[in-house]
Amino acid sequence: MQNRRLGLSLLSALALVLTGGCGNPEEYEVVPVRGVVTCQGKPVANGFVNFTPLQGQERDPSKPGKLALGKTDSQGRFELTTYHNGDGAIVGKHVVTVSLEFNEETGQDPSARFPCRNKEIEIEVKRGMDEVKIEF
Amino acid sequence: MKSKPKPNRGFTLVELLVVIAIIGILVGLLLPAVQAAREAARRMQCSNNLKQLALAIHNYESAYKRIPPGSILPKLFAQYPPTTHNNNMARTAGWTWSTAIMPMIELGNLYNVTAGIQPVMGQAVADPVMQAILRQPLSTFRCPSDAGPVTNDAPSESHFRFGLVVQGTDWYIDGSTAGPRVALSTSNYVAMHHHRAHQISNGVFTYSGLFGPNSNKKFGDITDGTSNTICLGERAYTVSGVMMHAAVWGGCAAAWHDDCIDDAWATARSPINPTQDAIYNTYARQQALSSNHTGGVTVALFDGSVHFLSQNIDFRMNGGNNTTAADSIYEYLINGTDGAVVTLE
Repeated sequence: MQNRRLGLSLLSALALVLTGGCGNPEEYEVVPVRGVVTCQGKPVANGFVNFTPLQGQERDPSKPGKLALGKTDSQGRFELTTYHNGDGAIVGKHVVTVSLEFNEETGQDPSARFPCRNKEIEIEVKRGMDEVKIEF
Repeated sequence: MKSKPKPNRGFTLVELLVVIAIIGILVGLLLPAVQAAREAARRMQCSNNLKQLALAIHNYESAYKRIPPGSILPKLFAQYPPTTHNNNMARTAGWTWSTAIMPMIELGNLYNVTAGIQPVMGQAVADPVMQAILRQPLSTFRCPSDAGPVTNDAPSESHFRFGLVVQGTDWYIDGSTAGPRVALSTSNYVAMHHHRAHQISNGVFTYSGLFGPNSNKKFGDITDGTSNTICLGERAYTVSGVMMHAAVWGGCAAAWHDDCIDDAWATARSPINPTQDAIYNTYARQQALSSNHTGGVTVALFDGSVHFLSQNIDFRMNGGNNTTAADSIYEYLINGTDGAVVTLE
């Protein structure tokens, strides 16, 4: 009996070693982020929300992290994506901007006449974050 | 009196299971290491190809005192300027930088029977002998980490498939009439065109890289310095099952349209590895740099050095497509004249 217990514990310990320690060093920690974005009180429909990680924050300054992007629906609701669809944003401080969809045919940016085009808000993404309400 | 038990010479079940489990774990530890070593070798070969292509561009510059043109466009364009985005003549095929440097990478024999004698790329596609050459695989243009097909049949509008519809004396692709089409040999290497999404207005291209339509740049035009500007990068056919489109070394399908950007060049319209298809559409993915190496892409700078760029590199954009001025390290590296000098270690 003792022998079997020993074997089992050995097995589970090694299994733990095996599953741990694997991770992509080029992917920083991300947490799910979702919310609603408004511009001058109105929800931004069919736009994009960008979360760009700030430099510094104990990381190589040339590699602050991949930006997170979210597409808004007709009510201005979005869910962020960084490395994988819907995975969220990198933990830490971000500069947040909002814009409208790019015109494929002309290569022109419809955001040109969008009132919240050049506005920036700083938001810190934390673990266990609930819904964020972003008001430009 | 108890008899002394006979010594058990076999293994118990538990002992056997433990041994099997340990062997299994050791194999499990070893296999990823072997796979990682194989990928490291593929990546090394991939960056060596990039280095050879960058050196070929240097040789071209030594011979002609010019950086090879991003694309070489058919003359007929002057007679039929595109008045609308989908104008048929805007869809004429053109040779690209990769065909221009063929004599510098020991492919002069292929060059001499294709681009060397036929200035109109569409005519070459229509010629059975030249078409067969443009469809043959060239390992110099393939990254071994990429598992894409020999001929690039990426499904995106008419891009990557060369049309065989004749108009006048030129050949062009027309998405509406959809004539016979042919897919040409796949490439994984692309020339840097612009630090943001493509900018084309009535056939006039605005770009900040050193490769554009009929571009005729010198090393002297790279005011940021050759060690601080990206020359070539890579693009995979698929990454984790998501279509990234790769490229074509033989030319680009609709050269006055934006096809060269997809077929032969790259932009920073979206970040490195925009494989998240919930956010980045097919147009964004086919303009970007991407690879199957873990977490980034290899690039060659204009000084001939090869570097690995992490997907976490400083990169800023506004909205789903980058349409703003250069304001981050990735964009500074592409833009050759922004005055912001960024050095890779």
